[in-house]
Amino acid sequence: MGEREADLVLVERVQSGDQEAFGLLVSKYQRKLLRLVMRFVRDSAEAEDVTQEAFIKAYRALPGFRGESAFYTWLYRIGVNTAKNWLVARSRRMPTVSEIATDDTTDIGDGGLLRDDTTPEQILMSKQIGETVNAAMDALPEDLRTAIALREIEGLSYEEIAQVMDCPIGTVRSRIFRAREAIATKLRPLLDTESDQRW
Amino acid sequence: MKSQLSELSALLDGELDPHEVRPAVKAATHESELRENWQAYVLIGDQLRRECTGSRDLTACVMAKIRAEPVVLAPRKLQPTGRHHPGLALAASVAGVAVVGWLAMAGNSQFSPTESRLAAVMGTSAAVLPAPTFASQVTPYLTPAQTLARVADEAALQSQDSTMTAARGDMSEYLLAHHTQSSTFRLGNNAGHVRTVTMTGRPARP
Repeated sequence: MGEREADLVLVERVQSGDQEAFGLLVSKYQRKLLRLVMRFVRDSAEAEDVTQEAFIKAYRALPGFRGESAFYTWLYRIGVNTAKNWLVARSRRMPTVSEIATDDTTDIGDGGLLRDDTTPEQILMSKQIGETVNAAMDALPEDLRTAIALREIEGLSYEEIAQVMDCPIGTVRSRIFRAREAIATKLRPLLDTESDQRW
Repeated sequence: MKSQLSELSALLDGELDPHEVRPAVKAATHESELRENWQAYVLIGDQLRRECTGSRDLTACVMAKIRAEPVVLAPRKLQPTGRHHPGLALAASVAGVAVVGWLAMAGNSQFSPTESRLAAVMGTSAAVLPAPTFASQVTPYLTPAQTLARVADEAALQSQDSTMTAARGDMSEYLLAHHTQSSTFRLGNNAGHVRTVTMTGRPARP
């Protein structure tokens, strides 16, 4: 069963009333969707809001999802439409220069409309997470490092990795799992901090 | 737990065997520790691909809003797994034929007393059943009278009453759930021209 089919099983669980299954889909695709939204919405904080809105819309539309396309393909379209609608609404909200009172410029604050709310703590946390993952990767035995790199970076299937590494598919599955666990063990102390300061 | 984590890792990659997927998904949605590991494994992959943007994890925020939403429920579509419940298919055949027969008899009297009784027995529950919206395998064309007789013979030879009753009940519940999503089922006196069908569980062709 491929990744697309595995996603469909998760979708079916959501359609059966299991909301937590939708959380797994959100975790899996949030960064991918956020990167897509940021092509339209430059401000990172607003992009996060639009991404959240896209997920909410997707959840509400799930009863109509029949699985003819992959889940992420369907989610991608919702993300694009949500971002475009946000741009249209924003263009209606944005005051023109003449509407800004010249003696109210202090209300605009730190540059006003083009702001980035990513805090220094978030930036630091993101950097720490990246460094931790890279260090953990370097510390892995070569067979584990190769297996997880071929999977995560090259996007090969287990069967393809088994051919490359000349080992059984079960060994590939085991190596990738052990690599993830080794990295996650070093990552967990960082992830146990405030949830809104993750990555 | 270690075996569950191993399955979780393979689930993320879409590399579980088909029979392992549903139990793994069920475990992941029920166990918070498994969900946390899922998030960690996803984060590791995104970091390795340099796909992290530095923003915060949105899962908790999204799920807080989702939990405030009405629970999504969608009709369970038939899976193309090849599994077949003989009682269900038979009950559906009888129900479909009974509707045809019941409507046909409303305009004409060409059915035998046996056929009429069979249709009448099924008619009470069959009368509210709309036409199925999923694809069906069409049996060779038979007149409604021939089909009723054939189904009656099959019913006598095969299913136990309790199996038929249970399957009929399952079918009734299923079709009632779909009732509001189907167009109104009306055949009128043209029921004699309708082909009878049998469900095999195959999905509709695009």
